[in-house]
Amino acid sequence: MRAFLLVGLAAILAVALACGGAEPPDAPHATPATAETEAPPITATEAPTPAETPLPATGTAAADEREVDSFEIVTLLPKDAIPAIDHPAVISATAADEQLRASDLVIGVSIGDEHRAYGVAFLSGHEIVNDMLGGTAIAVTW
Amino acid sequence: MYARDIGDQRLTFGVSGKLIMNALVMFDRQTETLWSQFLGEAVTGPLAGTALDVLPAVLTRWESWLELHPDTTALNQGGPVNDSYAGYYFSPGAGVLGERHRDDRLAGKELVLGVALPQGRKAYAHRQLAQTPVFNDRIGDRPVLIAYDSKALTAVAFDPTVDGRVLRFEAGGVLNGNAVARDLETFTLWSVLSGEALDGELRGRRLVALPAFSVFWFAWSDYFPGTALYEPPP
Repeated sequence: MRAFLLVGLAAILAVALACGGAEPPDAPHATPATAETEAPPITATEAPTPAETPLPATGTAAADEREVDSFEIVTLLPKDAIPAIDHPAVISATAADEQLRASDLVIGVSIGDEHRAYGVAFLSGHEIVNDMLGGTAIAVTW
Repeated sequence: MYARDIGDQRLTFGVSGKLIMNALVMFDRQTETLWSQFLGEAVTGPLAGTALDVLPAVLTRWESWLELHPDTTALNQGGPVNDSYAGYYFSPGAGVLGERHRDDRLAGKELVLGVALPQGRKAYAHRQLAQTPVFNDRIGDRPVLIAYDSKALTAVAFDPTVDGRVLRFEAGGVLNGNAVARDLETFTLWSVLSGEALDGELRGRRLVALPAFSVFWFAWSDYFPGTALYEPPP
């Protein structure tokens, strides 16, 4: 899901610049994107061995990394130009109902008996929330 | 969604500003390792090769989530927010970088549920799921249950095994506003969104969610060229 929003923001930046350089409200520190390729391209199968034993891949998309033969890492924005959320504020369902419309998309997460919703439109401006839920440290990404 | 603990080390992630095939690359503030969100794996840096533990999460509508979990909490976003990417989701362009492996079996911006298991990967088109919202399938030798809640726009994958028995499922209509599946062995009704048995012999039991997420076809097929794509029986 969620994977392409950085691209979207870069596109919005480009449009904003083309329209006279207005700063997009969500990324005040962002500088224009120059799609600069980092050389050399990284080959997944040549990734260095981690210093510690990797955790078992419990069903990540990298179940068989050889299928992802190689990929380039492309730089579009400076680090932290899109601000991840490190100290999320949490509200009740009643309070959230004032912020979220019935049809709004959310990412819903359940750990144990605890449940939390993250509004997708809001996540678009942050992409990552570093949170705690049910005693587990989680990264909600969009 | 991922767990942030690697062994006894807790990581905090930031947005690197980099992309791999149009998808987010994160970095962690503890080691400056770069992580592919799509792969759930560190791609370069001190932790390269390490996989993050995937935690189940669903993409759904607020009303459906609230119906399911009236005691839910939520991230405070300060007020209503309009999605600045709304126009992007349905525009023809496939990200600024374009595609390496174009796959014309589906339109690029069609949403698919991508399921990633050690036994293999498979994509299920949301459009197909809207027609047949609940069915059993196999990925490699592993049975899977695929289910879709059309009102919530939520597609999920579960392990259909309960007490060592692989249950067969069909669509069970709507209960309390949310889609349910019915198993053909006990006729228990199961919530599509949560996998919980709501009514019947197995009430209170819960199906185990499998790692899966909804994503544009162009991205899934770009990351996994030649990916298996579900085709309904004729």
